[in-house]
Amino acid sequence: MKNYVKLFNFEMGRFLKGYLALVGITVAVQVLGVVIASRSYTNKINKYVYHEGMAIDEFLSQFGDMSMYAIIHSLWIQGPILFCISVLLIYTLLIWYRDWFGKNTFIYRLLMLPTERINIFFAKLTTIMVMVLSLVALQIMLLPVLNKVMSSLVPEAYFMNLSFKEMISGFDVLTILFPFSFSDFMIHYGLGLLAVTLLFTAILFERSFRLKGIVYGILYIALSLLIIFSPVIMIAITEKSYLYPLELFYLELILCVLVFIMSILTSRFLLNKKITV
Amino acid sequence: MGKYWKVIMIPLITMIVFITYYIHVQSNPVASAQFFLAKQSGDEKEVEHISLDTEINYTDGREMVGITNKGSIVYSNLSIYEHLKHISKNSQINRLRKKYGSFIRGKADVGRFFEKDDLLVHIDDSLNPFTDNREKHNITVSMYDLKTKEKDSFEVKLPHVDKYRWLFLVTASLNDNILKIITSNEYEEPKSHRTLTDYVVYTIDIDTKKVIDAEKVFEYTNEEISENQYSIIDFHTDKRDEFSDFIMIEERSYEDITVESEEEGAYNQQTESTAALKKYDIKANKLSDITIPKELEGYTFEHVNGDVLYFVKQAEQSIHVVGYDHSKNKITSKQTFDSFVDEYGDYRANTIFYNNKLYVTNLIDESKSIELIIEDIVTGDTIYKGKVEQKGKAPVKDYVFQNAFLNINQ
Repeated sequence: MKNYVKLFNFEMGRFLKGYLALVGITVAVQVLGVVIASRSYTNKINKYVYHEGMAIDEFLSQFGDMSMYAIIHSLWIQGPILFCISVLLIYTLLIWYRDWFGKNTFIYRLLMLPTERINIFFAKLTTIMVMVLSLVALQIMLLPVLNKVMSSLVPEAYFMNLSFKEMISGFDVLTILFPFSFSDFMIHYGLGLLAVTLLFTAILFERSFRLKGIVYGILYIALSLLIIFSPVIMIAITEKSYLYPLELFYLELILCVLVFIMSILTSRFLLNKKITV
Repeated sequence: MGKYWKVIMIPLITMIVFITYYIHVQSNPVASAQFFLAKQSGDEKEVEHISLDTEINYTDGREMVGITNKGSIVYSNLSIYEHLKHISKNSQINRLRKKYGSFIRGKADVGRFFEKDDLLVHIDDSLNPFTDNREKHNITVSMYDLKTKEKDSFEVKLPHVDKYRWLFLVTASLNDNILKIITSNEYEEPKSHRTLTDYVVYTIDIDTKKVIDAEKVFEYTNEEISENQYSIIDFHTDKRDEFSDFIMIEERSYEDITVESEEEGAYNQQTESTAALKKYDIKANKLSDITIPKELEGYTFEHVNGDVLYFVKQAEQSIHVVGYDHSKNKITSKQTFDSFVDEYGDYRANTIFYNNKLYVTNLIDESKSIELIIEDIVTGDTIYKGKVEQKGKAPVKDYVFQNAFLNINQ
């Protein structure tokens, strides 16, 4: 356990600068976006209401009120989210390959450590998941703050205060990132964890068998998906479902857990017996 | 400890944020309004298994909701688990599962169940529709006798089905181990390319598991009567989930007429009425014409209860329901119910018959409110009257219900 924590701390440290950069970019761009959008809206108020004498009601019916809903669809909010997702997806591959192709072949030292090699796998997996979840948590904290910033910049008569739920309902990606029910949260991030685990195992296949390993890795992912979707495939073939919807749900849950365990065991085997530097 | 701040602080803050977020979401469940079916008079039990599925259009969005007497479910707010739980709420299947156990497994989504005392028969015609493979025109019959605990399943190949492109199970009857299945078999006439439908009774001997007879009882050509008039064939049985000893075959005609109005000018309106009615006695194998009394012209046949046939006509502000006993050639009841007026001043109503009850709603197109009246068609009593209302701290003002459906058998 201690070795795992050390490795986890080490992996977190290696990406900390990149992670903080993502946090910084997200906060800066989104706050800037809210300020610019609010300023542009208040400029409109100044032009039409204060200089041209347009009535507030007329202004509102022509331009609408200002709320987070207006900016949540813009690149100011969506851009940093999509950027963070892309960077983390790339880092899911880099977290392994940098050990082989970095300045020093760091994987030598990692594999020589007097600890179970699977701890390296768990440390990397935990790092990715913690990075993902903490960036999502950042976004959860940021949205009410952005709403406050906007409310302080736009006159009260023109500002519509939105609840958190109303804000995220405006952007589908947000409803996937932070679903309203905790059970959906577990399902979404459980599937995410499974996907990262499968990808890690495929990477280890490639690192173990090189060119052949790419094929093994693809076959491994295909086999895993086949196992997970086998009940659904059976229904599609037979056109009959012998399971009721909730039973199918529980079976899928069990299959996902089994594939996750299978992936961990396969990775352990590859790390202990097959991996080469 | 200090050098591990990253692995302590980041996960800890993340966890606190998520816990706070889900506590907040749970304590403020729905931002949108809570609609419910409020009783105005009658027995609340009548609507316990009723759901009004409708789309609510707000000024800034829309959502699909299911409204019951207890409240409303916004379908998009359901979690995956809750959604699966919700779709498992089919009372017929749940009742059959409780009674017949694993026999129901694999049969819930295909074919139909027919129940007779403690005998349950499942007829699976799912291999038939839209298949080019004529070999597949088979029907699987599965039976479970709860008393003897005997289960049986067999497949029968229907004879003379080569020309049909689609077979559809209409109903079935079971008497003395003889199963009769009525199907509507559709085909296209090669020369005229007209679509024709044969209604065929297949007689199956349960003991030998073979089709012993196949007889065409009725034939129908689907074509327009005139440019603005057409008709369709519809079937009615008195028992929805049980074997029937007869079916009513209705030819319903539709006509587009132009209505002149002082306010709106000329506009098109569609009228419907029952043009012809036949009764097929499955046990006696006899098809007979039903004479519809002249005073029921312009009415539509909607429901059958034994020998009594129920006809409906929607007048401008009311709905007329007439019971007619065809065996005695006698009108047995005449009932008139108030229709609904919508916000545009139009009278409109939708009628659904179920278990000798008439459900009258104003669920057509758009409406600011949904009202429901339940009538007992045998006694003529109004047994429930209700209206969709809002509850909660923040009722919404700008909304309209659209495309609503009444689910009686949840």
